[in-house]
Amino acid sequence: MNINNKIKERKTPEEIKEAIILELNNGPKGASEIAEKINSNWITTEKFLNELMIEKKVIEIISASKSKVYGSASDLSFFYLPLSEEIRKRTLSLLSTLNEIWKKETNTTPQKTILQKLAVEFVEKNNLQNEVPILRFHYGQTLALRFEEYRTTDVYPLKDGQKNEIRELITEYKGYSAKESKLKQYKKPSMVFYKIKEETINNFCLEKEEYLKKDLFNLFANYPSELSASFKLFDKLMYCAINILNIKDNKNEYLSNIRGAFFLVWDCLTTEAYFYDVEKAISPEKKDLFVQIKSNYLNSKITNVSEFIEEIENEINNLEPEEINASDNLSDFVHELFSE
Amino acid sequence: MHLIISQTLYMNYLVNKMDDFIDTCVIIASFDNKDKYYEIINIFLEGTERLVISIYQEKEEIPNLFLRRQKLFMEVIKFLQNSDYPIDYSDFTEREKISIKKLLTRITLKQESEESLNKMLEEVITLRRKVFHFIQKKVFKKVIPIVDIKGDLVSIIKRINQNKSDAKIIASAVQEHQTNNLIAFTLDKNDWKLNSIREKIENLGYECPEVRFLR
Repeated sequence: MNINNKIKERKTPEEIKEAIILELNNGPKGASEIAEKINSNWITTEKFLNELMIEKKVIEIISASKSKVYGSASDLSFFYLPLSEEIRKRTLSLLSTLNEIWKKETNTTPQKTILQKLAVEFVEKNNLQNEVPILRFHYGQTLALRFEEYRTTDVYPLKDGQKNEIRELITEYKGYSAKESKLKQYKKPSMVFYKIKEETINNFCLEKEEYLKKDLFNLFANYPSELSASFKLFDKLMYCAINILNIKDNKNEYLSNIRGAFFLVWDCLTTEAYFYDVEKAISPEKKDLFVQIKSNYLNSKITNVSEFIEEIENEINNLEPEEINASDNLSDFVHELFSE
Repeated sequence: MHLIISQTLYMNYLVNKMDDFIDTCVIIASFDNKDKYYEIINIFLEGTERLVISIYQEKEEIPNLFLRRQKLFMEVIKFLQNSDYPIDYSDFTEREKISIKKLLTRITLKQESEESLNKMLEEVITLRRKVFHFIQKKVFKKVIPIVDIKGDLVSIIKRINQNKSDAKIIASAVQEHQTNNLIAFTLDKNDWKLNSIREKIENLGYECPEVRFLR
């Protein structure tokens, strides 16, 4: 036996599978990396990875023939991201500790959204963002991991006074519904874009057209400029929505389509926001994998939504001048802007 | 070589009606009643059946133009909402930068409000719809796939106008003219001065189309 070869323990298939899942719960990996970590060989590891995929416990997240990357279906990170181990540990232990204190204080289990919003406020108040990152996502800010009670973890090391601070936050948050805790977060100046989106959706649902146009312009002005990949989509959505509001008759069908498009575009741009914010929590050696995962998810979302929005855009562009309010009378400034 | 091209064009002229290739400024001015040439342009467009533009105009130049003009308002509205906001000038042309500065001065002098800026932004969005409605409904043909625009032609044309975007539009018109006889119409006296480079274009084997200025 070659002295450099590791001595491989004999493990049962179930033990190997369990070891694979444990590894993947700490982030996505290729077959050879898993094999090394669980002290097995590549062929055995790949054989059991295939079985685990059939059992729907493992997912192939990158399918390139020579460099497949796998993730655990029970990975608590969104999009199976390669978050650093330290960040995973810290985030999970904070969520778990907050959950335990909540249960002791109220004899109830917190709703997941409320727990996340409370955790974000705690992290911000204590400037813990470097070890427990805060990320924007579909419904505002969240920590980098979902919380599942069955996943055991260490207790978060709280400093003096922090336990009392948590109790005060729990007293406040236990009176909130999930929506109220979300709206509380949207009141922060950094979340103004989310707040305006909420108002826009409300006015869409209530069909309050007189406010809707103002909301749309407000959204336009507050678009986070760092989300450049989704901007063209967002711009097309705004273009369609503002023109639809100028249609003279029968605009309801268009409005209902544009409302549907609004949710799809929101999904894209908040996915981009999530990837933008999470990048700092990715270990340098996993940056390439991160970029691959990001472009897989984001590009496919953007392509799908683009097709939908372009259909609406074509319909809007096809409207005859008499169907839509718009004169050729430009203001002096816009006239100058377009005069060659 | 020239003789062969001229003969081909002459034959096309005999059997086909001429195509009218129009520059983007012609389309935009047709929707701006403050433009000096608004009426002339609309008379011209109404009397023309075979309007042609380049695919480059439809897919890149016009969308990017409107995107930048909208962003211009977005930037100044951000400044109006927060005077510490650092305007990002990186995407804008020199002319647009001047327009931004004009608006910033007017904001500082309280001559513009969020409402007035939104109104102007809406004018841009409405104008954009009119331009694309025109392209969808009135344009007979969109020519020259972007990947087929000849780099050598673009380089020569860029020497007269320093504007790569305009150069690609003119190159598309020149390339299309080799198979379908056309006349190019523009309002832009500076960027379409093909006479000074006609010889160089012809040396590459292209016949130059006639350029008419609608002013």
